[in-house]
Amino acid sequence: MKNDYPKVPFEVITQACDGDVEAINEIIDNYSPYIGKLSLRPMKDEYGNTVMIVDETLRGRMQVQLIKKILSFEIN
Amino acid sequence: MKLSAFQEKIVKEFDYICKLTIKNERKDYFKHLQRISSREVSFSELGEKALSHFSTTDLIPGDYHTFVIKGIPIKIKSTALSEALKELTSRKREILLLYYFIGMNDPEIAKLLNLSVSTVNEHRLNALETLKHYMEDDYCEK
Repeated sequence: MKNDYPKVPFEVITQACDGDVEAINEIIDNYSPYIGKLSLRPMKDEYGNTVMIVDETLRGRMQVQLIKKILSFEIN
Repeated sequence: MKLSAFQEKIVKEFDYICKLTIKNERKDYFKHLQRISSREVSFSELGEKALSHFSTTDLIPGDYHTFVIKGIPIKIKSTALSEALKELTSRKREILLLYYFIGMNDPEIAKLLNLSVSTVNEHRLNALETLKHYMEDDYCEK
């Protein structure tokens, strides 16, 4: 079954577009499970077993891109 | 509170854009990783030649032959070359060393040694010819 993430409320979007830090943080929090899931990568641990681990670099890059996109989003 | 159709559209649009951004960033990142890994080579797989760029060998005075020109010491590693250079007259040797080791050109050397440019040029070519004969003979003897 497809996992449905909650959507961001309209008021928060308008506030975030105006550059409100609180609102942007709220949006990032909202998407952090999604980001976390997509930043999983298979890696080998010291015993040679393959484990899915969150790639922190990828996570950071995704967050940066998300913030950039939020700030350039226009309501029309 | 009931959202208007417009607001609902914006919320969906925003949600889509956010997810798209995240997905695209993930693709970019994996492309980046692939690009890196296609060029990365581990240290142990580097050849001798590449590794030699990372080290230097100290030269001790016994390893080279020194000629002093105008107060500048010039170090020559090859024994054959230095033997041949010693056979030349001092002026020819001076011109050769100034030209090939210090990197001066003919007019500069001419000015330094109070000679005409053509003389310097002639001396240099003569000296090269002599060197060539000497070193070829030397090579044949061995």
